Amino acid sequence: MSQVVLDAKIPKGPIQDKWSNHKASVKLVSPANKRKYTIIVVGTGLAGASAAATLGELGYNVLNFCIQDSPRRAHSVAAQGGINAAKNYQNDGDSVWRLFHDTIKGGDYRAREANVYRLAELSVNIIDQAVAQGVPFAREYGGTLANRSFGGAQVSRTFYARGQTGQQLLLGAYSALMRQVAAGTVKLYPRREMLDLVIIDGRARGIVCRNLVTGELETYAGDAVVLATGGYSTVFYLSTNAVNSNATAIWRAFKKGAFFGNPCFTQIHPTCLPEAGAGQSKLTLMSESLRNDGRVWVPKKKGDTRPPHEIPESERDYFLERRYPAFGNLVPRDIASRAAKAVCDEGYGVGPTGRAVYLDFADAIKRLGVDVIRERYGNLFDMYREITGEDPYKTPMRIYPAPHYTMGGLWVDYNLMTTIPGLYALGEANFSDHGANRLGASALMQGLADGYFILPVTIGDFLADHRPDGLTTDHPAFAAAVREVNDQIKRLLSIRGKKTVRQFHWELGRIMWDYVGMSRNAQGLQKAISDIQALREEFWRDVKVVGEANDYNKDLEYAGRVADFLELGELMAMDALDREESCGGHFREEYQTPDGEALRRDDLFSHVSVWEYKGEIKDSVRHKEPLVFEYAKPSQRSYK
Amino acid sequence: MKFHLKIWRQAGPDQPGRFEEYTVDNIVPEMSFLEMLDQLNEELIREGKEPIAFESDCREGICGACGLVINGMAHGPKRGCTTCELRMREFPDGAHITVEPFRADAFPVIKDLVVDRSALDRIIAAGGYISVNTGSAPDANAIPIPKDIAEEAMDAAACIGCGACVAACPNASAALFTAAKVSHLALLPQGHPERERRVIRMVDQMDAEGFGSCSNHGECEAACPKGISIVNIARMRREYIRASTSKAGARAVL
Amino acid sequence: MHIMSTDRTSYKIRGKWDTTVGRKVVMAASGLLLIGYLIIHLAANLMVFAGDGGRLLNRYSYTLHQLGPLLWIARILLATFFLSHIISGIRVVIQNRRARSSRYAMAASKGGPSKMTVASRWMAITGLILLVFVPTHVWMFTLGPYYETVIDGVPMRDIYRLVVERFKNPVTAFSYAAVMLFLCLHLAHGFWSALQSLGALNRKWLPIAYTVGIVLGVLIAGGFFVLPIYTYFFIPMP
Repeated sequence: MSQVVLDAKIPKGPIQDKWSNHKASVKLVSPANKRKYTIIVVGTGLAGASAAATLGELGYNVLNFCIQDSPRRAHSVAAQGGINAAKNYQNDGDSVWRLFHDTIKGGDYRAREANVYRLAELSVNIIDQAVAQGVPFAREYGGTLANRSFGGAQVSRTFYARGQTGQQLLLGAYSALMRQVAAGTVKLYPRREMLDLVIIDGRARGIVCRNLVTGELETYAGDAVVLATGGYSTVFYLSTNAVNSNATAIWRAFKKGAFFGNPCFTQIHPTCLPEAGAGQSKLTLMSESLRNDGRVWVPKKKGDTRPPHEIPESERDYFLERRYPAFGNLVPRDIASRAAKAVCDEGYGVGPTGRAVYLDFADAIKRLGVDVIRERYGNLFDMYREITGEDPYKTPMRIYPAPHYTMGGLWVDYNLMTTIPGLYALGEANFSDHGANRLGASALMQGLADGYFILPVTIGDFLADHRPDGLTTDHPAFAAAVREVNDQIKRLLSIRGKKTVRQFHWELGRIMWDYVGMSRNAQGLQKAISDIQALREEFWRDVKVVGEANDYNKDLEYAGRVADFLELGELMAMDALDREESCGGHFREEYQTPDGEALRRDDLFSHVSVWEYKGEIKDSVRHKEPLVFEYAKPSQRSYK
Repeated sequence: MKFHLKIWRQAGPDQPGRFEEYTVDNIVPEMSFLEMLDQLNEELIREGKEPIAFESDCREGICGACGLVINGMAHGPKRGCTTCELRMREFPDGAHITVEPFRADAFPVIKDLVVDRSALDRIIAAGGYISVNTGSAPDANAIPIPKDIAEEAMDAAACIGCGACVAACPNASAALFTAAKVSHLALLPQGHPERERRVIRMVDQMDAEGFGSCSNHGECEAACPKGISIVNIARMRREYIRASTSKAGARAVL
Repeated sequence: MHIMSTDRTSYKIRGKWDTTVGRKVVMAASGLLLIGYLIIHLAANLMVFAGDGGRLLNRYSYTLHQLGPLLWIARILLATFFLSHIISGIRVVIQNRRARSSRYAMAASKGGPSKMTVASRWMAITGLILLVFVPTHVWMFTLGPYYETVIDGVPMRDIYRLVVERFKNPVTAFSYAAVMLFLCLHLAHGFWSALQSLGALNRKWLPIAYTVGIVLGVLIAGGFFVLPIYTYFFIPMP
């Protein structure tokens, strides 16, 4: 279909030597010259903050942007359960090799081997770094670090800080970042939203931001641009992401020529609170770590309305344990989510909406005592009680899957560079190392590996070949980009239609959830594409955006983001339609095994689908990066 | 449910503010306080009026972005939760609710209920970190840390930086915020090499930002969504006295 | 954008004891010393109740005055504690008022672990009352009329008579007693707060110190409260 050759720049040599060989062979920038380079880092989550801090430590001149009022609020903060690392502190047979293998398998053989191996390799350094920063991970009485197990793994390799692992790791990166801010190597620009990428002579050279307080459009020039702006699950309207999480930065980069990898690979997280009612602004995730001790079940009888404690053991269906005896409640997220959806579709669901399953701790409390459970999950139980008003120590939780993470994102090579020279994408913003499904406790690992250890090495290789040239924002390309952004803002404010931005977002979310959600089929996807196109047309005709351009204006911010989602949603559906197989989080109803499991088609789809923008979303062209498996031979994923 | 709201509106930092009254109807008890405001804003937008500016992001009580003073209480009447976690079932139907921004001179109002809390970032930048460059860390298990110490450090580290302690303090003091970080790092052996320098610089920055002085009212702990204890403030003062009476502390000032 | 303040000159000029934490340390240390003095003072005053026509009290006062320069050193120290307590107190109040120039329309406590009480909110007011009270008190007694008495052949100042005489005046007796209610409030918050400001408390000791503070406040102020009332009603003029 395409002539474009995507060079992933994977180093030669055996997989275990690739990264060290690469590190030894990349070009370096001398310490004295580093401060002459300006690097723009957009985003201050785990990937962005760790990258900005580390680049600052190295001596680069870093400009770091975030949409929040403080870098500490980036949505990495909400990750609960933990971070994987192949430390093998538990002596349970873990190794870099096994983490690599689990991640490739968990991703259903749709990730790049070399990247995943490097990720597993670096996982151990992340834990060292975080502990040195003062991250208060859970510990054993002897003072050593504690671990728990997580979905998709048969070893205990997950490090955690109560249910606030993401927060603690982010605060570690944030404190390193603030140290560099104080040292003057990093300049921080909070309350800024990147609205365009500036490309000069084919290279990413700057960004256009809107100052979210004054509404002013600001421009910044640099020698490289790093996007660490997170994922796009909010395209579903209701998701576990923060209400301000958005795709705008990567989407506008896509429209400027960066290719987009596997847009349809989204993860639906199995353990979230079920949707409760109108006006709901987000779905709350309960850490997957709960599946360590909680048992998932539904009544054996359809439409059983008895309260859970009145349902005897013999009339309960522990469907995960029944269907997947080897992994039980710890099957990967995509499998757990789909299984929950399946039992609810068949009418076994519980709760007022019938769209929920029980997550029961009674056995664990009996076995370990209520204190141990409180210590492990206290804050999660509290959170559940806050929201639902029910006490999970006494009655089982009700959970249901919700959009959570997007494995897709900007396509990057082994150096994390996109198809635009000088433009990098880190963390959830890139198409990443998780293939078609991310294992629990691996997002934190990837964000930090990218930011602390990978980018700071690989960016030097690029910069060494591109000496500072004194570019300023006076270059006409900046004025042109500002004009474009300004035109869009003016247009949004001038429509003065009848429907609010939120209504459009809600409608888009419905389309996405119904047709591009947990299970997909050709007919539904085609409908989604035409529905989204129609909704987008209506948006640009009838949206109502209030307030001024030159002011603090949340409605205007929101409108820009939803405008982008209305395009991204279409690309996601196109990609899902194009991928005629089931793999990981992407489940095409047409392609399943007789017992309802995902049916991969390695002969046809063992590739990354890489999309190139051609002026209209519908004209986007799909390229392929073939995936070669030399070390982790694809097999039908089985957790039975 | 139906509520009568009195909400602070302020066009900008230097503009005078005033209360405006609104009535919201058809609110379900499960809604969070912010979802109730979302609904009000939707109505305002439909009427072509400017929505009420307030801050929020994660909506699950961890990012620290949201923060309103509701009926005179930071994050509202319920203890141990952020504004986004506060549910409308906490209020009786037909209640009159007053909503104000966090008020402190160190937190200037940006618009309506949005305030600038960057002073807290600057306190962290002054010393709320352990100086360890990426790549220079020893093995994570090299320093054993007793479980109870790690737990206590975690209690302090749970701070979400929302600023409710400042908002609730009659003196607008940031002592609990600063103490939580000082305490977290002072408890851990990794934090010891810089402990004198850290506490002196952070306290100095806290003062430079114009926060008040802690008078031990303990309102901060009551308002803290993470229940961070004022014993951390005592620890910060111990650290401070220690730093002020030691040679290492004297060097730190320079 | 963040403007980083890395300039530490103001700190160097002001010094480590003139920061928000330092001032509270000064206030706490001087406050605790003043509480110590109050306990000794109360013990002496209770000698009024000895029922010996003032022998014990007058002899105690005589002994103190025999100390000569030592007494003056003690007085100067006491005045220093008092002044540093006041100065740091004023500095704290000024800074606190500046820290929130626009007030809340509505303010309420969330209760629970909060230690905010009338006592804690009124520290400045009760402090101000005591500030007016203490010089008046010194003026009334130490600088009051010099009555003489002879005990065991030794001529000495009859401080007992002065005390009784003063407290036979109902205005003096009752206003004294009233001020002691404010002293009670001041101590109830002041004691535990001082220990907290010195960083002496932890999870275990904080609640204990808090209770001890209230008990101490009631006992000390109670003792000083009973003195004028009892004298007014029950002690005959010598």
